Amino acid sequence: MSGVVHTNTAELFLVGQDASNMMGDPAGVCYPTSTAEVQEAVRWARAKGMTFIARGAGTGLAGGAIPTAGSLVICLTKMNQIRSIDVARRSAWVEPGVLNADLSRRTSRHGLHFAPDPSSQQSCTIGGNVANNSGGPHCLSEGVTSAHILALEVVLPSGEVCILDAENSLFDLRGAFVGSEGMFGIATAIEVRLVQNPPHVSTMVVGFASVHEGAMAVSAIIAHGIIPSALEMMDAPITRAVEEYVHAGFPLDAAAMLIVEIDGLEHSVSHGSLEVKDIVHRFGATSFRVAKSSAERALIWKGRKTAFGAIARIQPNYYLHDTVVPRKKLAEVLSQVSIIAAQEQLQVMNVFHAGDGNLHPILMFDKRVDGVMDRVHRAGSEIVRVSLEAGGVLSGEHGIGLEKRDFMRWMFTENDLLFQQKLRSAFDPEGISNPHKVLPRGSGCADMSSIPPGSWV
Amino acid sequence: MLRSEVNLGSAVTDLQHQMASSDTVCIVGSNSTDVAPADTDASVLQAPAGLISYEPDELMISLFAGTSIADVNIELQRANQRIVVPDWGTIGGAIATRRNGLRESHHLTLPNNVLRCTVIAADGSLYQGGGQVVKNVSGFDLVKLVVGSWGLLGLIVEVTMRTEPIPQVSQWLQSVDPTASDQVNHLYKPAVITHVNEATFVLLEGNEQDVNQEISRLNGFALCDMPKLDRSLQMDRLHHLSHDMPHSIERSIRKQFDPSNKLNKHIATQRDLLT
Repeated sequence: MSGVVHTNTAELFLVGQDASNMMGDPAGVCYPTSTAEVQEAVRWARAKGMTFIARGAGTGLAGGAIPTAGSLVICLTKMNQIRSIDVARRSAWVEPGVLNADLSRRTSRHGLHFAPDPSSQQSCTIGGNVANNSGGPHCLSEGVTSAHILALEVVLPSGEVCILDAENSLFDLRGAFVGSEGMFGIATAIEVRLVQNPPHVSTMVVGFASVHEGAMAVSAIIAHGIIPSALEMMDAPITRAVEEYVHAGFPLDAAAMLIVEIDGLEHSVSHGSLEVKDIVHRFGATSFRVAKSSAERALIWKGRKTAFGAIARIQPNYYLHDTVVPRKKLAEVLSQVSIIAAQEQLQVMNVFHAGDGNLHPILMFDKRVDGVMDRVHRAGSEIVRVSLEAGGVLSGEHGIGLEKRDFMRWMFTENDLLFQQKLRSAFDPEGISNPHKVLPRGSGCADMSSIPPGSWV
Repeated sequence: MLRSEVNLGSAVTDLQHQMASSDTVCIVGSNSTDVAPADTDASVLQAPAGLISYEPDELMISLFAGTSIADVNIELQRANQRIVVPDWGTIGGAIATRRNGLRESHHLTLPNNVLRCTVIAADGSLYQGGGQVVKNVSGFDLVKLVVGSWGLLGLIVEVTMRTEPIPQVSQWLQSVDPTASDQVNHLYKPAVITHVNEATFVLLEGNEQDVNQEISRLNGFALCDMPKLDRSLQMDRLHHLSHDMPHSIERSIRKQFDPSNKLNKHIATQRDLLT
């Protein structure tokens, strides 16, 4: 096994990072191609007294894939086979390194797709989606990753292989594993649920004169009993940045725009769209456009999902946040976010899953400016604080990782955290699988460690 | 109408004391599910009932777990909403037994609709999982663990559930021609497909014109009422697990959550989960 563990500086530099602003300290990296090789890697690490961390594409934003404590990085990108597709049952067994968008591309000829669609779907892996219980715009009606995972083959931290599914345990071990951020073991095969492609889709782009009116319209649509397949908001700064290079026809005069998508059978789509049109106009919509072709729809979604790339046109660095608030508090919390950014003299843009109340404020900065990181971090913790005060939660889809572990006490009691630790201990009694994540430091329940360079909480 | 019970904190505190001071505890809802008889010397604990808060516009309701589902649905109907759980027993009981009804084929099944729950642990302490929002990945998912845990991890006292709008129409159909069953596979996201003896039952829900159009595509099916099913067929997972042996992780979880084997011994014995 040691023969296939790489320790050269360049590779360790690469796997020491993810899409957060942190840097880890990996001791080695290996690229298994089978369940047996993952098992061997885990056993090898155990025998050496090392901890280990599973890694997919490294697109996570909360530092969940940052190796700590000199872990062995078990990189799963070479386990990228779709093992089987069961069209009748609408399910597939896939390996963890399969890319999210590839799975939907490969199943499209059967009229099926994998519903969770994070913005990183062109590069993120299904294994990473399982670890983070990932979301995406279309999780509003379809539910997040957990609702789409039927079974898992897992290499436990002990080195044993087991299946977690609905038939072989009373407790929902599958449900407990999804979203455990790599701390319960390594998923080596994943049975996913596939969803029928909708026969009809209506995608609407609506402009508003204020963020407040847009947010009120979001609440009104849901309160009216319409569950769109996606309900996204972009504020004026990000809309302009995106429009300049995607040319999706977004309204440049609007202070906020919504993308509302309704899919399903013919009449529910046509009636739903009419109702949405009616509601948004009642809330002061300044423009309303329906995509007339699938190409137009694709361009709208390209604009939405590549929004983060557009930021480079404004500032070299950005920090993307992720909290959830009750929908009725959207307008209030968004205005607090802009005050917080102004206080720290930072530019902020918002592009987010409004229908879920899932905020994604993006703080933009140039990290070469002295002291700017302190301001970014202060603003970040204030955003978390106001979200919790509004009755919200720490994270809607990015996870806790290293980024938010020390905020966990803001949301949970010590006893809540103790029971989370008990669950972790049942899977990983020695705390060797992706140590030091999620649970806060300084309590009986955290793995003991130093903070990796670059982490800020 | 459901009474708002925001002052039941003392009832919860009393239950915590009873839990802490008992050696053996049997957790019950409304006894709507058949299980092996509990130990006669067990303290019987039951969650209080009542509404904590209901926000129709947020599609969310918070309840004490002893509330009857029939009462919940009467309350929700006033805002043209529902929870998709079979209409008997208590909400805590439905969650503890993961009583999903027939909607196994639907993506938003019971476990995905429980957003938060508060549990009295075996030692009498309170722990909470989840939050009062529709999307949440903050920490490990104690909610998923508690759903379907049969009282082996504690007494569920409070829950927050996602509600949904009542569809314009709901129509059951039954196959009258055994060769017709396969047609249901071509329907777009039917709410339920289930097979009883030789017959296939399907539930179509949504816009009236859409449902009528889907019905017209089905040959060899006839409109029918909701099939009367043996309750034990509806997700009584305790009796339908494929293995007799528990999963090794299950035993570890039990040991972590209930080290003195206090909770629902009769069920733990049946699943060989005493540690």
